[in-house]
Amino acid sequence: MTSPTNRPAPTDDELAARLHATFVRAEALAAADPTTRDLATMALDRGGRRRLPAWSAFAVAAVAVVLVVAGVATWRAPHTPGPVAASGAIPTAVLPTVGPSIPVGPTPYPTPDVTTVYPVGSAAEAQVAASTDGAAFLVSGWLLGSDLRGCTPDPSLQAWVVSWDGCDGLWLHPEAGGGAALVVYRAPDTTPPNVDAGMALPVVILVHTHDQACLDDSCRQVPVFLYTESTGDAKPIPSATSTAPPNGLDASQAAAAARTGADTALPADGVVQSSVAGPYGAIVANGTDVATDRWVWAVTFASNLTPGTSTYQVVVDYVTGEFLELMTQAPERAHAAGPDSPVVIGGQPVHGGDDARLAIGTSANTPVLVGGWLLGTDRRLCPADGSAVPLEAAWNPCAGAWLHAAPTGGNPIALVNLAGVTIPSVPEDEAVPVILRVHTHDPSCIGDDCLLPVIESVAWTGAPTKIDLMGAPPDGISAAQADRAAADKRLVPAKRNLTTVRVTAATTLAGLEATTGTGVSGPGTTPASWVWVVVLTDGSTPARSAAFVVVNMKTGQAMVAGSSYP
Amino acid sequence: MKPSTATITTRFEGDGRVMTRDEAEAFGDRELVAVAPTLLATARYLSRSEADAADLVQATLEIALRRRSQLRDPARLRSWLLAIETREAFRLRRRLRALVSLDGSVLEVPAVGGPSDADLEVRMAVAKLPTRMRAAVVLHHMASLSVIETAEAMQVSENTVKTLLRLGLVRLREVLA
Repeated sequence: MTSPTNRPAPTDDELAARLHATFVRAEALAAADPTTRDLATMALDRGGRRRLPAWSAFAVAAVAVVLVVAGVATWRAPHTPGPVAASGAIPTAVLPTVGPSIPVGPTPYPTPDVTTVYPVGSAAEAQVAASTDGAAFLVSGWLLGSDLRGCTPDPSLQAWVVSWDGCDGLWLHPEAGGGAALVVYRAPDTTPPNVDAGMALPVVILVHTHDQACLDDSCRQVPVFLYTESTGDAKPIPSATSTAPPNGLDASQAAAAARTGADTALPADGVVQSSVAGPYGAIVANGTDVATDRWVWAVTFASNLTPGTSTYQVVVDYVTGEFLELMTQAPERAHAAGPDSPVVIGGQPVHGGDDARLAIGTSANTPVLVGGWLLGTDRRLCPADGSAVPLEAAWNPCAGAWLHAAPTGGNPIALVNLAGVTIPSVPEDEAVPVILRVHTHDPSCIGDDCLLPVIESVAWTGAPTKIDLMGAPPDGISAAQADRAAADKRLVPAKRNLTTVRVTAATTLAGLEATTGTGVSGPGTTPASWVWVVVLTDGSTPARSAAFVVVNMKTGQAMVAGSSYP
Repeated sequence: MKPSTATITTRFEGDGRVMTRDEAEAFGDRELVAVAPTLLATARYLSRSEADAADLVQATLEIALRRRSQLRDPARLRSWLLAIETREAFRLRRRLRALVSLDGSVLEVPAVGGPSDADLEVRMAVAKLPTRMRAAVVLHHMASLSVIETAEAMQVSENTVKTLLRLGLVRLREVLA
């Protein structure tokens, strides 16, 4: 008999045959599984009407948080067609008007209209508005390398857009210099053209509305990116060189126009801090919604009424005072890892808490500095029990760190440690403030979960702080009591005899979700509620199966049981 | 040898229950429903849990039912459905969490009649692959889609699929050896 250790490695053909044979047996099991019939019957009964999945409530809450954060970050005027300078128009010679090779076949999308390309502006907007089904069509415009938009999804849209990473969509401009953009959303599994910073790329892309993932009227008319049909030659974004038009507003008139245009978006106590006139592209940092050579007034107001926002920049037309956009800027950066921690290192700002999440989520592959606390107690939920499988061990945050926004923990950011950076060792009853340099989209990431931040280096370490170990409520139950409370949840088949208590840990529900990906809630609990986690494993096959039971530390109630079985 | 659609239909109907007349009428789109076992088997590889897999199959069938008029070549029904399922899996993956019911048990596989240990070994090995690599391996090597069909389903190029398949086999060989 051949032992596993000296079994010869299978050839590609043998491996493929084994995979296929396994799948055939899986098909047969599925065919005999009443679940299949139930699913098919439900689908037929509903006639295509989607049922509400269990995660919808969670998704709505998550979206609300995202939108609030995004809304605070930036608010822009509605997109209105801007003036299109003849000299800046898209050179039609580089944009084909007929798509040469759009495939048709087993696709859920109808055959696209390949005879017409709709330039961004009134033509594209009219086509989007006139679309009544998912038929694809071509639109053309310019993608700008300076469009580092961050997360600014349209607040009127529903969860599906955000779940698609809508803030990572395409902003298609009518000119190489900018102009009112058509926002095209995209699914995370699509690949838009890459545009270098400072460059403008003419593109023709295939889009459609009425996407199958859109479940209600809020998103039917949203254009969704399918793929890139063709691209032209990239060129530098033209600099603003126009001269001031005659009969422009003066500073006080501009301030009044800005205050009127911004309306309630500007706090009542807003006082003018500065007024600057000039070509939009020259005076508004990273601005691309308005043609770069259009003369505008940029009026900056300061306010103390809105925590989290210190200044408001309102942009109005230089001559007419037409309100164009409003942008806010965060106040002076707070200390991310305690009062002694630096706010800037090497000219780079240090992000903490939700700001750190936003910075990581919008960083592309640019390193960012994030600050917070490492907690010694975090190691409890990362047993070396096989969950960190050999091939992906480096991507398991258990081998990295969890960065908390406060020394008391809660809502941590998972960081992976691919390079084996030496991370401060933290005793179980301590928290250590740190600032870490991290990046996303690591070159070694193959899947589409590449937003996981990867530790590059430890930029700063502060003095450790003693913490009240786990902060368990005084009347909380003991681990042994939790184990007994979990006993009646050990409903596992004999074949998977998960009767060995491998790890018992205490954490918060927020910590549990961050560590295991399992969101748990229950009556009278919050993300900060403390729970015991009883982990059960089959000692003979530790890597194959593990189960856990979450017990409310305060009430002793078993809240949820789950399994890490793949 | 991969079972034909007819074989799967028979198996599907032969799960111990006799279909009523109403049920039979409800199954008017027999060809579509007959692929449900394939969709469930695939979903179990693309998803992280039974609940996710069930959600994925149902969503796929509902989308297909709404858009069945867009299927131009009935002979490509299977690959068309798998393409919908794959795209839906990519979309759902980010928002699905490993939520389990408050009163649920830890059961994830049937105690009786579940996959064999050898099949579980394959399933576990495949589950360890990165998402896209796993999808390519499942669609091509397991569900027998061609490289072209797999590329269309994943909306990537054929070369990307070939690369993913090559790396996927390398990784599987390391795990299964």
